[in-house]
Amino acid sequence: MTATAARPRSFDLARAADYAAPGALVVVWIAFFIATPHFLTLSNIGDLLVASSILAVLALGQQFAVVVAGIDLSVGANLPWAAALLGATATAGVPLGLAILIAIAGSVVVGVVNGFLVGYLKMTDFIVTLGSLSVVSGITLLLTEGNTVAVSSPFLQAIALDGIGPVRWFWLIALAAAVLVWFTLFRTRAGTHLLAVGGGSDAALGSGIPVRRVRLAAYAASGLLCGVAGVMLVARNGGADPSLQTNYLLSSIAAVVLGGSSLFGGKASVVGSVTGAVLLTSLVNGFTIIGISQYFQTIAVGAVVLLAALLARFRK
Amino acid sequence: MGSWNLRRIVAVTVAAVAVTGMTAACGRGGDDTKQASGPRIAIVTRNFTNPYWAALRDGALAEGKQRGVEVNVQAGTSETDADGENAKISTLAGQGYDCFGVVPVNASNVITPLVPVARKKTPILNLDSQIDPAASSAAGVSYASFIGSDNIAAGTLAGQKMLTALAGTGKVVILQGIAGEQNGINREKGFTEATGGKLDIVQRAPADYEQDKALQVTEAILKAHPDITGIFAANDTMGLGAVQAIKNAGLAGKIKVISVDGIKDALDSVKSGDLYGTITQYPYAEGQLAVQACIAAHSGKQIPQRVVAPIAFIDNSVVDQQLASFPKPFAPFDNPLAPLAAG
Repeated sequence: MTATAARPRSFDLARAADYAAPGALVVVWIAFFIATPHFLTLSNIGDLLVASSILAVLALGQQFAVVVAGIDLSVGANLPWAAALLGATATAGVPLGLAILIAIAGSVVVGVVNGFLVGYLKMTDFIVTLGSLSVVSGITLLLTEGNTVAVSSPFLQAIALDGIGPVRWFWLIALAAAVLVWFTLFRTRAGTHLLAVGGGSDAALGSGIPVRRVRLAAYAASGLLCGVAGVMLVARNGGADPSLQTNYLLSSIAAVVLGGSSLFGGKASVVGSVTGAVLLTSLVNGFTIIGISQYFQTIAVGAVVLLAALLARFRK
Repeated sequence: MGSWNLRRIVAVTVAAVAVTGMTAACGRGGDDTKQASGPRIAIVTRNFTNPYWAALRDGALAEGKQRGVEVNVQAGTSETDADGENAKISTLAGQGYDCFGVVPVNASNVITPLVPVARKKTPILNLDSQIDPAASSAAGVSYASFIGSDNIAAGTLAGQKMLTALAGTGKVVILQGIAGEQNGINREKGFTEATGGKLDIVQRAPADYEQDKALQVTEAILKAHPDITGIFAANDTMGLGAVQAIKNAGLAGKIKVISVDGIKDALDSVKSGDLYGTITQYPYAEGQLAVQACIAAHSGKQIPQRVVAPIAFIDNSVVDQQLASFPKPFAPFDNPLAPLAAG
């Protein structure tokens, strides 16, 4: 309390900014609770969390790129790429377990290429991942000839719809990813390196941290989680849709920013990113239940992101 | 001072929200008891940016209003937004709706999110485009009815009208929709069969149901085949793109374009003499039929396995009639659901 008195205004706003996502989540949930009796029910919140899971996993991947002061735009293409790999290999008769591994590996390859170009060749992250967004999307369309590949696997369907009792598999996958990312970032040396590189690479280089390798690892991790999300996408949709997922791309960045991570690197919040993903999904879910027009939904999502950016102005 | 102000604002806001919340919660109980006895109906389609799906939505909402039942129509963001559409279905699946009507993005995308609906034994209508029956039954999903236009018949009708327009001979081009999309495949199939051995189809080019892409594709085709006399476009937006390309090339009047759907822009284009004709389907009627089928199914009546929505060829001779009654059909059609839903 005495600290508050010593540093008045800026301190409180900075704190408010850190809790932007959880705070906004509470406000949004209360608003929807007022608007409709069908929002705050066990079954709807359960479904909402399932619907948030793919975005949460993607945002956790994006978190790695953001923490080293980068950005991963290739997510929009890497996601359908993993899905298409799974669809193509499963249709060709490859056992499902192996097909899933191939899909995830394919996404890691994209991440490693991004990381090599950004880390070792010192190319601008924005341009590199924008380029690979386009290239990977094209390769995906070539692989599938533009068609959606149906993957009707009882196993994948069970992952999307069932769980252990009331606990759905999708929650557990997202939770496991969040715990692993949190542990990596805050409890390992690799995590310390990631945060240090994002905080200021010159200083990190001076202290002997292998900056290039750390950057490569960050983008590879983003690719890895993107691959996992791709498999979840196939499970949920019962097929591999090769079209570019711009919504997921923009939402993954928005979720990370909403969560309180700095786009200038060096600051990460795992809980924040996951909360950001749940918040963005809640908006769409609630509006759908109320039956509000499609067009207002995108405006609301955009407004929330802009508000988060405004709050971030007050953050040190 | 600043921190005090902020705290006060937060406190007041929280209190206000809490109070409104309680009031609203109380008021809500009353609303629920007032609710009509009819079924609550959920309809999900691909998007609302395509006027075709917007018309389906408007038909369903109008029918719901007229019959006093709750209808919620939702959609994804584009023709290929399978995941967005599925998120809407999953959300609505947990909301206790009594009947679902679904237009799939492709033959398989909606099956997984519909499984929870099917498990609750809620009737599901397959609207407009066929969902893969084998994959559906493998997942335990079945449909009370299929309501949609016969797209092979639409293609056949387009082929017959093209034959008449070109006096039975000539070179034509087909503009295809999104690869793998069943309605487009069926329209093309109907057209090809109706014109087989008479018209020479020199090229089949995909333009993804998009006007701008159809414009570019047609421009390129006109360079390679300047002597074509007809173009069949698998939907109206592509037909309009083709018409524009023909105008740009200075070939207006020399090449006849027939497309499918009957959207407003296409009717206007027919009226102004640019588009030769459109095979209109009636998505507005389809939306109405979906609501009627839901009401009939909810009251325990047996509804037909397949309900064919009407189609009609609109050229200069009837375009004024159609524009006047748009988006409804200008001629009455045989509706097997009307007596079932009336009771």
